[in-house]
Amino acid sequence: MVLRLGTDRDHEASLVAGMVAGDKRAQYELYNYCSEYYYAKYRGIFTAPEEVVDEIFQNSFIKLWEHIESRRIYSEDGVIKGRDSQPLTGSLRSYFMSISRFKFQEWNRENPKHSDAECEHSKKIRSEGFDEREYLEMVYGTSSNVQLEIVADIIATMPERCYEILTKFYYEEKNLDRILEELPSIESKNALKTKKHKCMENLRDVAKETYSRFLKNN
Amino acid sequence: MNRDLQDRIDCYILGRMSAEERVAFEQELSHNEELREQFEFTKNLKSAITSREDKLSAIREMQQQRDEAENNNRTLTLNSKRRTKQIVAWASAIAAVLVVGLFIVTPLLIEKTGFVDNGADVMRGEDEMFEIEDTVCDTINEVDSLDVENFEVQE
Repeated sequence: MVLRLGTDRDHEASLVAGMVAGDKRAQYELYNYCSEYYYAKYRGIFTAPEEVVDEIFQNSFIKLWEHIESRRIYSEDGVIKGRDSQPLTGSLRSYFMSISRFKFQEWNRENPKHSDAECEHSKKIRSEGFDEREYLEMVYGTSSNVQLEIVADIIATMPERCYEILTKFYYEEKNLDRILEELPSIESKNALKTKKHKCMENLRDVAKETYSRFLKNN
Repeated sequence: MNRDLQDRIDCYILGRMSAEERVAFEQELSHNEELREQFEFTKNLKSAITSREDKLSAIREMQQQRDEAENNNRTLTLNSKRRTKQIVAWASAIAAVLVVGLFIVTPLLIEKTGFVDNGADVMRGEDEMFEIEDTVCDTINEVDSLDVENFEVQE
């Protein structure tokens, strides 16, 4: 259950302020707040298999969290502000659902067979086309480090094996010998090293391409 | 992507270089554009993975908290329903005892107060009515027995 203080806008501003302060209670409340709204409303925006719906929510929440951390949106005097220090035109929930919509668009582009022909959003994409400029603007906008944001987006959808290897290497800081023990399906240290490099090369190529599209649209 | 460069970048980023090696690497960074670009990319990758993993870990905890809260609510609801059922069962049992008791006790009460069932209608206050009836009949009989024709008014 989410405790509401004052108006919804006041509540949202206090949640954002709490997130910035690293308040775990605010994190939990914001998670619940977004989750309740998302699962109640997503069917009006898109349809997708259940596991994809959950994945989109998770990635959208991480993206919202990153936007708060990087001060893409922030709370000041009880008001949530965004670009150019202007107050958000809509609510935080609407902002969150916008992120979800774009995350669905990413998934939809890669999985056109699964898109629901009758879904309003899919119809809109088919009739008006995928608005890349709007997408890039929303997701990367006026970020101070667009390349970092692009990499953050790409790793969320990279192949599981690549993500596993890179996480063990760069997050858990394990050496190749230790990683080899934990991934017995990889035959040798050389094979592991090659696999790691291949993952990074693919990731870098996609990141470069996305960044050049962003620069072209801006 | 230069794999040799990548190995050196990884050593630097993961703090596996000696102090002298670090100094040499930083100097090289300042004038080697390819190294600098690959280094920036690797730095962004490490930051992105760290940020994502930290958040995923927090999300897993939060989801666990949510699931526990939902389970507790479900248990409370079940307990509350069980209690309501128990109360209803007890109330029904008491009501049944009262209804059965009424049919057993009432006849006993009737016997004690002198109500006699002659097969005729039994009325409350029947004894008093019979008394009144007797008095009225006696009075009527007295009146009937009066010699009205020879009744003289005595002055």
